[in-house]
Amino acid sequence: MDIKEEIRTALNQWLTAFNSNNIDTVIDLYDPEIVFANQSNPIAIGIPAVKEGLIKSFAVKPKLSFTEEQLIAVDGLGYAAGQYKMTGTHPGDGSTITGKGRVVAIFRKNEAGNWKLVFDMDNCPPDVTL
Amino acid sequence: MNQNLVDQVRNALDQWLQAFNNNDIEALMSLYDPEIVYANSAKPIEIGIPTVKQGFINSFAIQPKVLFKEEQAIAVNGLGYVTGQFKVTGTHPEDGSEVGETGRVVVIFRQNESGDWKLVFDMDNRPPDVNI
Repeated sequence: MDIKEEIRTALNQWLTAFNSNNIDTVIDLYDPEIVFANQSNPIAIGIPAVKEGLIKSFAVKPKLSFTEEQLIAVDGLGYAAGQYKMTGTHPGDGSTITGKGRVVAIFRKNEAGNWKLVFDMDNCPPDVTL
Repeated sequence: MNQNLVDQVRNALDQWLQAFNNNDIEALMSLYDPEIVYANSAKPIEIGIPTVKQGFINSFAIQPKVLFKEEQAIAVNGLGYVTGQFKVTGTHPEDGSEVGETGRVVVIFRQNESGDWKLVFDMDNRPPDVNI
């Protein structure tokens, strides 16, 4: 598998774990130096801070879809950028919650040879069509 | 982590900041990778140097200056990035009033065949904790 496909695989593993709302499986995919730069929340640095945020977000049982716009990778570091769409269910009234935007996910290979998510940023520009 | 590579990427960002703050469009565009993707939070995605260049020509109308405060930097051979907070200030071209904005940004640099680091991805957002 070439390096670009390794990054796609790592991202797809993250998406699968996220869409299963399985916190331990998701967290296992993070680099210890993870920086989560969400557009709506203060920066979250490190796995404990990111885990706490994900636990809260899983209250709506979110599901994500992703469309790639750029992917670049070298040995040890790579990223995928693209559009995302999130749907969930309001825990109180059962109504559908949706959100969309653009995201970049940067992965770093650890000493064991596994790609881990080390940086994640999103925004909400006007051209997202997903 | 290779500290020397991180410093090379920081240096590339410093060159970008200097060119931007001089409002020097040609110096600025020489720092871009041909596959640049500019994912600004307030406008449609811009792909490629000609599109990004036109955007900067427009934005230089306010003679902008930017400050940057690093929050993370990671680099390996061939690819690296810096993220942090930014503050842009400028002057409205019609009434002379001060304009500006703050946010968070990530800039990813790729090393070309000549060994030079070029900006290949740039994304920003406007979270509530920016205090630069």
